[in-house]
Amino acid sequence: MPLTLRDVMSFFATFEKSLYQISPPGLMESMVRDADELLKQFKNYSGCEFDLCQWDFSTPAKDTHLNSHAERETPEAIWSIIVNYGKRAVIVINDMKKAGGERVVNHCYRRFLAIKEAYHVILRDEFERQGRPHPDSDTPERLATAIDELAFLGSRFSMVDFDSPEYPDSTKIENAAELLAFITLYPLDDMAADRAAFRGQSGSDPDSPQVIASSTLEIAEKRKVPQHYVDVLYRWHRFDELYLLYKQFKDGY
Amino acid sequence: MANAARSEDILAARNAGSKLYEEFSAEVKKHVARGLADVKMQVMAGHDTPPGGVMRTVSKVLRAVYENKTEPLKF
Repeated sequence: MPLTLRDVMSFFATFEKSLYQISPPGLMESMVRDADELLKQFKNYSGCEFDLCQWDFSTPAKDTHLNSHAERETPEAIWSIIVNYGKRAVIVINDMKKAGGERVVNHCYRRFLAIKEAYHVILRDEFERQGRPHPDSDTPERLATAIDELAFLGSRFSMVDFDSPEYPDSTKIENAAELLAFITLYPLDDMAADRAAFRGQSGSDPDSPQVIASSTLEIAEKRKVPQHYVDVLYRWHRFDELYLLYKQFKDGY
Repeated sequence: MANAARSEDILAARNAGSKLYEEFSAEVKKHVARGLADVKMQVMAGHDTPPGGVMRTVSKVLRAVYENKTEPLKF
């Protein structure tokens, strides 16, 4: 059974309620939710120990043969990775720097990716609980296939393609984790209100990509989330459907 | 002669690819021995990403994780 947007929102409404119940006062009400504290709550929910780390993915390999391929590596193309052992998971954020010293993965993305990768553990547990097959990459063959799909098919799909029959679950699970991480850091009720205000104020064509892309930076900075996802969610033609699904599952009507 | 050289190039490229996969496979299997359940990642590949480039980097990162070369991150 393919993963649907409805499944994702049904799960999120329940999971978010749990977060509100188990979190210390103030965490969920903050304008900028504390990513470290959220990871602690993810651990409380799942029982999985998360080791959040950083490493410069452009560090030369000590191994001679890997070094011989160094010029063909693409360290800038991988921003984070999670290695999940079940009750322990290592999340590594790429700490590579650009020529000017600026990090390839900025602060907003680092927060976002830490939560996004942790969601892979939560989602996998949820699939298991429901008795559904999860697209695990737990062997060299599966991981190599997943890498190929993400590198060469992933760019064809994004979260806005959710429910497309051509969209493989192995790629869709990435976008599900992205969506969940984003709405965990930027609550949907707040986003819906901000989006409505934004669209109401933004001139003659509120759907113009130029208007949206040039105007959401302040919102992203205020929430410390990647601007790219603000643009995607604000522009998504299914946002109202997404929000209605969320309200339906959250409020139980 | 040119065709022979070209064949050698293709063979060398194929062997290099196979060697890469062997190394990648060996790195993944070390984690399988530790009870690997799943690996996921955020790939920001562009149209110019060379075949094998992501695999090479993942192989190296998996080794760094295995050898505890990473540093703790706090926000």
